[in-house]
Amino acid sequence: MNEIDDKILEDYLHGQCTPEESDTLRMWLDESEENASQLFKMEELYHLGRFEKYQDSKRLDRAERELTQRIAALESKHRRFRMSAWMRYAAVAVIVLCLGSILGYLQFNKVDNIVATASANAVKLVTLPDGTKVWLNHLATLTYPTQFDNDRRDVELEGEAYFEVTKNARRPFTVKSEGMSVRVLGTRFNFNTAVNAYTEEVSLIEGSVQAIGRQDEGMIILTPGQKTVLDKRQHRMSVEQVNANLDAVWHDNLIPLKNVSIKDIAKILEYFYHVHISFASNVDTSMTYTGVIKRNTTIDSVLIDLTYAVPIHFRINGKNVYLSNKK
Amino acid sequence: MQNQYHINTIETINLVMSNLDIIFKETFRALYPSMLFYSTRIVGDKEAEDVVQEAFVELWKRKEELSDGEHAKAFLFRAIYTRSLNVLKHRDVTQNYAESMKQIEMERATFYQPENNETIKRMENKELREQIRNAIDELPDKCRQVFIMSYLHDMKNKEIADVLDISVKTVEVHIYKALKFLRGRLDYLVFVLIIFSIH
Repeated sequence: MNEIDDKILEDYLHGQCTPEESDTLRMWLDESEENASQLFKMEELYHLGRFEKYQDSKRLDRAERELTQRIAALESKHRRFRMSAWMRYAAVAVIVLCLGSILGYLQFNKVDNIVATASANAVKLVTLPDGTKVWLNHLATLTYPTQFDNDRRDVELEGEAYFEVTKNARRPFTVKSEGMSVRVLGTRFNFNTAVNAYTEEVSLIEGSVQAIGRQDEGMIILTPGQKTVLDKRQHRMSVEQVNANLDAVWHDNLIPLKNVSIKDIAKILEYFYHVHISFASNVDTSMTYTGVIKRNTTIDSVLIDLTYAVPIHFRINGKNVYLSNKK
Repeated sequence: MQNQYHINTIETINLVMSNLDIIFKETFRALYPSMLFYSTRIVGDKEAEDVVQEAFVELWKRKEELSDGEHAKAFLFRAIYTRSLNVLKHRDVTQNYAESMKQIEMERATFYQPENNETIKRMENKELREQIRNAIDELPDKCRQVFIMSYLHDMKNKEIADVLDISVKTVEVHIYKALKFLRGRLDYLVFVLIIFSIH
């Protein structure tokens, strides 16, 4: 077996063969089957050495988003197809169906809906027939039946609510708002249907949820720590990584912290109290804290609570907070 | 109200598969790297992602039948292979892209056909990957540094030259040396692999 020139091999591996080089390589491959097998195995090993590139998590996330969009496009095409086929039926059939469903609705509809609304200055806790707990933020409204069907649990939401859904894989739990349909099996998440006039958000704390834009914006499956944002003007859905716990702090006024560094705690406090926090050089900002801080009405009461757990001292000057080591 | 009721019904139909969706998502995340690697070997960087996306969409359409991992995997390899062959067939031979290269690519595709179990097994062999990395670690210092920049970080020769303050020519020499050395080492690995595939 003749040897192949190293230079050609190098150019081949880099995908940079000149036409002359590829002719030479082609002839060498024709000499024996073994040459081909040797070359391709070597090439494979060469690329296997950098397999990690293919495992890059950002690349994976990007691919997942693209796949989600492709699937959503496919699903909406199917949906349109179903509608147009359906519309080919005679108008009579439509009328019969409508009449039938109205009659059915009148005769067999024993399900009563309950409408719960939180007042303008308090959070309201609602427990649903299946044990699911829903905290309604100020002025939010939840509509739910006195009894759920055997195969599904459907509720409707306007405003912001935090859900702790009782697990039941056979009865999926669906929350519908004007813009989204959010489906879960058993999980904790925050759903805000009125971030502003045209934005809705779902933040997932635990479990898994599937959020669907109701105007063909697509479908997104969230993993814990992700938030999906629906823009109803642009009809776009996006996903971002967030500290989802913080989105639900309003429901019990507790800020849960798990191995959070002092530096990040400062960021969280800056977020909730609109203050600026700076550190003395003797503070070890990488020190972590696990526990719950109660969100009080003022920053000083929160800081007093925090000093019980972490050895720091604080000084407040207007909107500026200065943290130093406790002596 | 009637209209709204109708929309709700349609949505419910589309929502029935949630459990499967979650399994599908997990399957996707677990298999994507291998599938992208596989497709890239046949069609190259530029078209591989698209081919893999299409294969997963096909899997999505059949997710009810293919919820078990091994079946899904076999299906994906087959779908990617068929699509990749199609891409190769429709690739135009241009000035810088010789007819002979096209033939080499077709022959290479045969090497990667999903029936070739050995290839698939190698792809999932973590130890083998480690051995390759070990071989790279054996390179002399400067040579290794240059090679890793080029091989693992996709840096252009010119960029490497700038960062290390050496000439492009020197960079080329280092890469050439590294490849020659690795070829010797990989030849041995290939040899070992041939022995294994006999038994």
